[in-house]
Amino acid sequence: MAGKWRWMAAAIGLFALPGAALASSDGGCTPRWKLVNRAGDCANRAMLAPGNDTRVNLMLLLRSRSGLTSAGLTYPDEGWEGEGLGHTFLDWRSMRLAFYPAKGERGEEPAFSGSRCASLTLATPTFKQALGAAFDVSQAERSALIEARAGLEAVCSSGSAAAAAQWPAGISSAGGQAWLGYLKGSHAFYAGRWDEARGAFAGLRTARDAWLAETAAYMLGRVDLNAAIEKSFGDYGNFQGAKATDRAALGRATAALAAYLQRYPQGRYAASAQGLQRRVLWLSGDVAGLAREYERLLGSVRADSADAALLVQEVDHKLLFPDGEAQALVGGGALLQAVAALLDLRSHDRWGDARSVPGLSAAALGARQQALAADPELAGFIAASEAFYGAGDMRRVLALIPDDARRTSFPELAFSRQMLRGLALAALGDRNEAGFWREMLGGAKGLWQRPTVELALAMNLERSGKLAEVFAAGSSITDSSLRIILLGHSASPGILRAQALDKTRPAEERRAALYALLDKQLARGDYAGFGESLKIRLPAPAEDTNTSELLRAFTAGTWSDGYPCPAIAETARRLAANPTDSASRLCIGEFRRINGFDATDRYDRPPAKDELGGASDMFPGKSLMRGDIYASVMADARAPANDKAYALYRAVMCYAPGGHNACGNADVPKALRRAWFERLRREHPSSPWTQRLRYYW
Amino acid sequence: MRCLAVFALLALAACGAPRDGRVDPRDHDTFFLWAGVRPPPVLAQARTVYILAGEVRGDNREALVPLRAEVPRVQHAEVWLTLRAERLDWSAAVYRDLERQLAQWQAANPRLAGLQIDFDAKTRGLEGYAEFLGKLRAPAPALSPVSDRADGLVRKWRSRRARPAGRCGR
Repeated sequence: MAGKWRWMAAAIGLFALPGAALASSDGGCTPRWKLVNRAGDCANRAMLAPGNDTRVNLMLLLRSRSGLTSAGLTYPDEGWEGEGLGHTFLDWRSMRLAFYPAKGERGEEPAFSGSRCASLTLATPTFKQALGAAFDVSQAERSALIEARAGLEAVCSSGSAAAAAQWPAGISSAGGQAWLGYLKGSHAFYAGRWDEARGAFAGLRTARDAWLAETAAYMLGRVDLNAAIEKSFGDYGNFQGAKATDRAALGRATAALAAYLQRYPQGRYAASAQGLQRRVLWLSGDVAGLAREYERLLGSVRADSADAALLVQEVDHKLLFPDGEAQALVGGGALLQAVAALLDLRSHDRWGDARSVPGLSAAALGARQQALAADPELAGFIAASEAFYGAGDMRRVLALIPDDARRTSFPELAFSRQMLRGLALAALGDRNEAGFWREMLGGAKGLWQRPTVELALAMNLERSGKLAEVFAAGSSITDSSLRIILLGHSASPGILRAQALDKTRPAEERRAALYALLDKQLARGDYAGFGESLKIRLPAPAEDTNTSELLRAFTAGTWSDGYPCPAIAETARRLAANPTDSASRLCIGEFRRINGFDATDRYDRPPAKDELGGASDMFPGKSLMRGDIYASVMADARAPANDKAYALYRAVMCYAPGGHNACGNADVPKALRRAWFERLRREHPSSPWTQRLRYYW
Repeated sequence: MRCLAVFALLALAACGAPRDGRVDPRDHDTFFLWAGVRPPPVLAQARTVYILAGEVRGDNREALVPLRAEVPRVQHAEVWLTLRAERLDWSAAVYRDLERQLAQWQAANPRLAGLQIDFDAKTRGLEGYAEFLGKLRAPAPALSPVSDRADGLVRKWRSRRARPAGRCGR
């Protein structure tokens, strides 16, 4: 995380200049490096899982059903935002970028995008063209009408319904009057005066001009759709769900859209009107109708087009989480019911609270089984998922999913099935687990698939005491992210040294190995080894990485900013000769403090037992934290007075300025910090460190 | 769905938030409301609400993507219009849309206090920040005067760049 600010917030006073605010929080994703994913974190697995984003699960299913392969596609470059995910995990964003890479800049959003005003500027050319073709309107009238239409924009810009319109004088022809009437209807529509808009468009349905008549008929649907949602939004601009919809207006919209499509089945707005009918289903709270429509669209959309991603996003937003909270799914076919079944297995909501899903009614359960029955492979996977995540019945998983690991490629569903089988083998401690993963490696060619299988295999090797296999020549574990985690948390000094020197491995991996080696040798007291390791020099990268920055501290760091210390190499040399030398011990603390190592405690806090790197640490010894150093020096009878004073000073400063311990060891009670403070003043009244310390925290 | 949606905005004290246990929203009066979330009842006690309105994504400098269905109309609390930005080289269309949104929010929220930019990027992305602030003021008269506190923040960020960033909590 070094050198990085996430979620910076600048507050710019606007009107009254109130207090500025600076929010800081970690907006990136730090995944848990394990495969079982029931809780739902920010990192999705390439296999269907309860904890995955519902959009990711639906997209995996959609692509799998279409027989699409992601082999040959490249991992997206997400910049720092995707950094923590490696090639093992994905999120909705990286998935879209990988499957549907943008071709060049996408260009501007239309003006007023996201509101009904979007059509105002988008349709300007169409309006001009239609008016130009109106033979019964004079040139002068046309110019005046076009100018009047441009004037409508004020309604949208101001957001004020009261914006008065300026209508041209001298529109006298019958044709011109009809167009003027249309503009008045439009003005009322954009200003939200529904009755007036409805009246204007209703009268124009029989206009002589075909474009006017058709457009007015279509606009009637839009008028009442907008009227229907007028009171649907809460104080925070949030949609409040179907319950807030104006039913009478929605009924009128339904009728108007149906009438339009009946009269103009191939009309210029037919596609839009059909889309608006879907909106009606959403606004009326007709979950089953909406699910039916989405299942139909999922069956017809091209899974290799970006439209698929838009559809999946819409399904998620309108059907699965209609007002930000999960909604029980009624209806829909196999795809939607599979996504819903996985969501039901999710153990925690996105706030981290345990999630309790009321059991399905017998009828709903029957409907789900019936929907899934259309796709036996998927039905088997869902049943196995319920056994795995729900009942914890691993033998049933094995019974439901036969071994099919030796494939040449894995569509997403087949991949998910075999991954689940492998995880069941792991849970059972099956002695063939590693062999199963090795077989899968042959066909795991899709994006994220191979690193996923490698994670499974690496965890198995780590847990069975075969870490050396991970780092042996020709190892199956090729993914750098996985290797770097194991180098940092698990590897022995011998492995670290060999990996740092291995010219066949990527430079960042070698740097990670060397950093872990130096950091641990210094922290765990192998001072002679540290001196040897310092002689290893790796080429510097063109642009600094997290690890290269840290590594540089060992050769070109800052050694001292008050308490005198030599270079860290010399400090280590002295400690190799005399490990209890208090000045040198303090200098280790100085090195860690000044060069920012307090904030990079990544190797001192192992991952959880069920995560990669959490099984065991083959590096001997226990890290000496800064706080431990100060405690030992202040208790050391042979330590010079100045060293003792400095140890007391630093021990108190560990808790500055907020009372949080920055020195890595366990927190001590405030009374003890006070005792240090008082001891410093009592025993070392004239020490410069005593003079400098005015508080304790 | 996103993992984190509403969180108490503790300003700089965020780093001092309880390490164990969870923040109790009832202890706070300033909140950040994410998009796509049902506003929790605790907002009724808010004195200040930062409301995410939209974002400028890393892959398109030309679009201010709206993330809120309608303009809020909050009477009881101070409101900040928040934009999330993954880049700062916004096109003119983004400034245009922002200006419009500000006007609409101002009309509907009697206590609109300001605009907040959540700049979500690497430290290195801060180079263009001062220029960005200038641009943010220039085309939008409504945005001036800009508090010099904003410049203070820039300085604060820069002076902390040299240090590896500490992490809040564990």
